[in-house]
Amino acid sequence: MNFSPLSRLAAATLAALALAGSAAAKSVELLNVSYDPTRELYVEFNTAFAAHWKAKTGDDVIVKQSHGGSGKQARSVIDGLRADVVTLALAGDIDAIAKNSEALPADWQTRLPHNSAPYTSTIVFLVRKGNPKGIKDWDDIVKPGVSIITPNPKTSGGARWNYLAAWEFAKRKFGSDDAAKAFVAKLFKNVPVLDSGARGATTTFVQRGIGDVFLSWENEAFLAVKEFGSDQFEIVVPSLSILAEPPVAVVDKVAKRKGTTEVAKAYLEYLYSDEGQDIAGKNFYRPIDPKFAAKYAAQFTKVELFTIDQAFGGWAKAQKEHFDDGGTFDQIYLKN
Amino acid sequence: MKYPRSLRAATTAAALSALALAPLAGRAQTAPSDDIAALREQIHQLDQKLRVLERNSELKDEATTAAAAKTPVVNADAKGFSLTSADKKYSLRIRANIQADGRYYFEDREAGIDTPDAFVLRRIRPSFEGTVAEKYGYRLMFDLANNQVQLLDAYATYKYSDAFSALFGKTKSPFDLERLVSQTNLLFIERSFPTLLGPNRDTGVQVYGDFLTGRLSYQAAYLDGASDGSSLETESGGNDGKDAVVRLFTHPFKNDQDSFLKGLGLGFAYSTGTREVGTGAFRAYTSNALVPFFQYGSTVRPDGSHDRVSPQIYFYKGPFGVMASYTESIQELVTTTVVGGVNTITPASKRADLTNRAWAVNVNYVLTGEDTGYSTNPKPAQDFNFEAGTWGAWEVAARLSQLSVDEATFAGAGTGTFANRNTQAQRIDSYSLGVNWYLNRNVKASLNFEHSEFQEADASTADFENENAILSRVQLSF
Repeated sequence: MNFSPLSRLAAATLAALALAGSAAAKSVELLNVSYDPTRELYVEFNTAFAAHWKAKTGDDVIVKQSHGGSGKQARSVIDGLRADVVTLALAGDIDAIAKNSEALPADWQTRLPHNSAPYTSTIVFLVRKGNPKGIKDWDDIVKPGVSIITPNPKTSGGARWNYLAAWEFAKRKFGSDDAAKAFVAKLFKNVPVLDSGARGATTTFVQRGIGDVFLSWENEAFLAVKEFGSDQFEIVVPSLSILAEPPVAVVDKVAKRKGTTEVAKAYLEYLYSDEGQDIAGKNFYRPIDPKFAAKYAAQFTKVELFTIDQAFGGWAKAQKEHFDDGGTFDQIYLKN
Repeated sequence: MKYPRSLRAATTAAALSALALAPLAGRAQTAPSDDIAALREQIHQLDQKLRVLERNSELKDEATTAAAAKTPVVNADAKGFSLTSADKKYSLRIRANIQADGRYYFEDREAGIDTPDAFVLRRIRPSFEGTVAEKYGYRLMFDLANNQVQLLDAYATYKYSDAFSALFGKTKSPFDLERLVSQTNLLFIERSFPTLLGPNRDTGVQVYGDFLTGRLSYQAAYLDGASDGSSLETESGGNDGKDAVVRLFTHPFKNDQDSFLKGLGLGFAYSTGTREVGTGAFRAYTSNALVPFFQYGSTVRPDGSHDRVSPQIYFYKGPFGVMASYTESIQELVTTTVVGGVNTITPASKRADLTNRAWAVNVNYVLTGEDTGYSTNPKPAQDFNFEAGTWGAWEVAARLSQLSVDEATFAGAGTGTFANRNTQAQRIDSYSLGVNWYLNRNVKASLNFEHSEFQEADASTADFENENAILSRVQLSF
């Protein structure tokens, strides 16, 4: 078959364009829907991952972030926010996404090491410099005249960790769930403002100058002291706190539709890498890698920690009993 | 309620002043340090309360803003009633148009034929249109006039970009310039003769878009096929033939703000299709006052090709406008014999390619100075308000138009092969004058005077009288 010179030129041009297209670097965009206080962590981590991915594959990756109260963020994803990955405050929120949208499997937590939690944290108290109200432990904060800042457990993952830490402290000290409920009721009587997320609560305490004690994510407390100065605030570590394990997951349905599954998986796996663990430690999260846990051990005060499985039988049970509509938080707060 | 930070500052200042003055006031009696500590604590408590109030107010505002970002927007305005999602990806707009006409005929074209004066509901058209998932659109429009329900528009659209959109379903064929003007924005009460030779509504697929920053528009359609001036459903019986329609329109100076010719638009439309015997009888050609003046013989049917061409032009500048179009419709017709109730081609059938032609020139001027344009009504600078002495917008218009039927239609033995030369006119020339009163954006009143003169075919025994009529319309649309 004899083609005209023009036809041959056209075919060659098309072939060259096709090859050029396939050789050109791809640009991939991911949306990471995260909880409130992880902004600084992911600014640093995203830069590191982008460099790593570029070096490995030659492709560019841009990670867009969305931050807010963990529960609120989960609801946004359920309602259609197209997150490639979620990095939320607690497993219960990602369980809710799996259950209500079927965008990822129910056993998502088994897909990454350490129950899909690449770092841990806990709850501490942030107080004014000099600790004018003499706060040392949980029972100091429920005294009359002490104003507590904590976000709303209905929307904030951090607030739920706060609530459960207080509950378990009271249950161990006073011996029953009823006593714990009364204790937590007293705690919320001292709460004048309920922000929707941890960062909003930080704003309330640190910038608006409201409250005597802020029930804070450990990393958030360190960040506040670092940003505003140790002449403004102090960190008080209670005698007992909860081991918070903020998990991460790929949202399979979205990643598949957007063609980002490979990058999204690599993104979360990089949190477990040496660089990822080092960034976590630098941002005041407790690395799970023993090498980096040891490196950053000195910056964290030793505290007795319990897990949600040990004290509450897991997140599904705790969510249903305490934070679902009509749960103990509603009973406490509406009564107050 | 927002408590200004100045209130907090003022309260704190007042308390501190009281504290400062305390030693002076108490010179005669020293205040214990416990009292000062208590006072300081009170000030601190007060300060905290104010801060809490401010912060709660701030959070409430944030929650309201966040809720508003998800709340659908409901609108009711001159363009109708609409509901739009917060992200604007989903919408529904409900519109309607009611036209109440009056027709008064001075003289009838033919002795013995009395065209009754009438008040009629010309159009009652509710429509539902909107978007789904941002890029997909839909429209349904019904006509409830004449005691029947007609589905006029029913289509879905997809917009890929300004340069490419697709439409699937039934709507106006993209051919005739005046047909494509919305029935709420017509310059005259009735469209003119080129519209009689072009297709009305049709069903199929259309693609359309703009290039060159809007200076060049295209429409292309593959449709089921419609006779002159008709919509698909006026044809009965099967018709395997389809119509292809292409229209190009350009606004060469559209983006040149200083150009005198900014409002110039010119274009060209072409359609080609095939027809088969078995389709229904032809629609009569009517005068601008809706009086029939030409009808093919009852056994004449299309059979074969049907092509149309239409050059089109308009120019609008400020309150002045002119619009003109010319249409030729060339189709193969055949005479048939009814056999067993079916129109059938027989050896005796006569066949011909016949070309009908029409043109119209409209000129309009908005006396009150508002801008005019293609397929838009002038927007009154001031709505009609008798008490306030404001009178809306007023517009005058004039039109010359003509339609001529191919002379060969009337040739042949007897009274003519394809039409009766003694009862059907070969040509109509119409002269129209119109006044439009736009009371506001939604209400319009129109008055037209139509004068039509008829030409008989060669060898016709007819002698058609001129037709004079006054048409009126009150229109409400939103």
